Amino acid sequence: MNRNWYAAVLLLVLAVALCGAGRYVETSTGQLRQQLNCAYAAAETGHYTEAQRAYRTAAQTSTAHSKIWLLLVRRTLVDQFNQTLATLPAYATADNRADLAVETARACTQLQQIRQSFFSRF
Amino acid sequence: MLSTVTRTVVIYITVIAALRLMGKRQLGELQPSELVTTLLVSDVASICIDEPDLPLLASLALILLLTVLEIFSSTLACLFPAYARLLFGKPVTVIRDGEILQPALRRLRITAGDLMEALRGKDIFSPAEVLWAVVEPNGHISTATKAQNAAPLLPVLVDDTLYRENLAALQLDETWLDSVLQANGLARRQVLLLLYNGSELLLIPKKTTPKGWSGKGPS
Repeated sequence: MNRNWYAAVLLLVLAVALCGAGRYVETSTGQLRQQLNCAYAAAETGHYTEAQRAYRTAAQTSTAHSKIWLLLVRRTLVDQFNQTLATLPAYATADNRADLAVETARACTQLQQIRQSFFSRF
Repeated sequence: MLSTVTRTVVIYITVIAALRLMGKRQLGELQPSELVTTLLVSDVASICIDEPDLPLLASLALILLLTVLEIFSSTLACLFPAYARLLFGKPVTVIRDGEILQPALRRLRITAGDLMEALRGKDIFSPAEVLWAVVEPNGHISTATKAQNAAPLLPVLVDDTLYRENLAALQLDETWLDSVLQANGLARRQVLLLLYNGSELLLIPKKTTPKGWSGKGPS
């Protein structure tokens, strides 16, 4: 009967780990989405230096979260997102507004896919 | 490369811990549900090692979840005989007193060739030599030959499961069973094991746990 207690404890630990991981994915993707929106809003209003700084901050935040994401979601999704974020500061100029819009939208979708990779039920 | 090495080590430790936690049942003859668990655990482990794209925690969680389900399922089988019957099935007698029980073979979808092969594996070359042969839930065949001195004790009542065919083979009925139990002051649900061979009787009642649970409702 001891094994049942071990199993119950294991189940509890799994449930807590799953809840914690879900919370982490939700919070981290939400934080990054907000950072991307702020950066794009800055570029839209012509504050390109501020936008570049904000995009770099988003890339740094993503790199920090990637260590945990790699345990929870598919590696390719995280890699693609980080690759997109790496290009964004270079697009935050007056000449590349259309490209910036496209790449920001791509980054937002990739972020959504990271979230879905954890939360999708089927 | 490094991630593959780390994953292999982590999965190796986890699978060993999981099998250890599931107990020795998993290492011997496997029941159908145990076979499924073992196959799934090995598949999840190998996929995790082969596919660095998959998150490590997801594979670990799956292996541990399968372990938990197997432990709970085997505990339920101990506590509820009906669940055990559903999960593991029942042994089926295929030869009695040298005679092959053909309806049982059809029910099990075993050909006469399969049966003879299994008997030859036990150095028995004719069903006529067999006093009693039974196909166990794990697919193995157990036999008692006529050459053995004493007749084998046949299961009549095991953990709330009544073996009517064995009662019939002993030319007895449920009235006999109830009278034996009544003489011992037991109800059917209080019996762990009742074996009989026509002359010798083995009756083991269920023991209640320190907290009073005997795996049964009121009889």
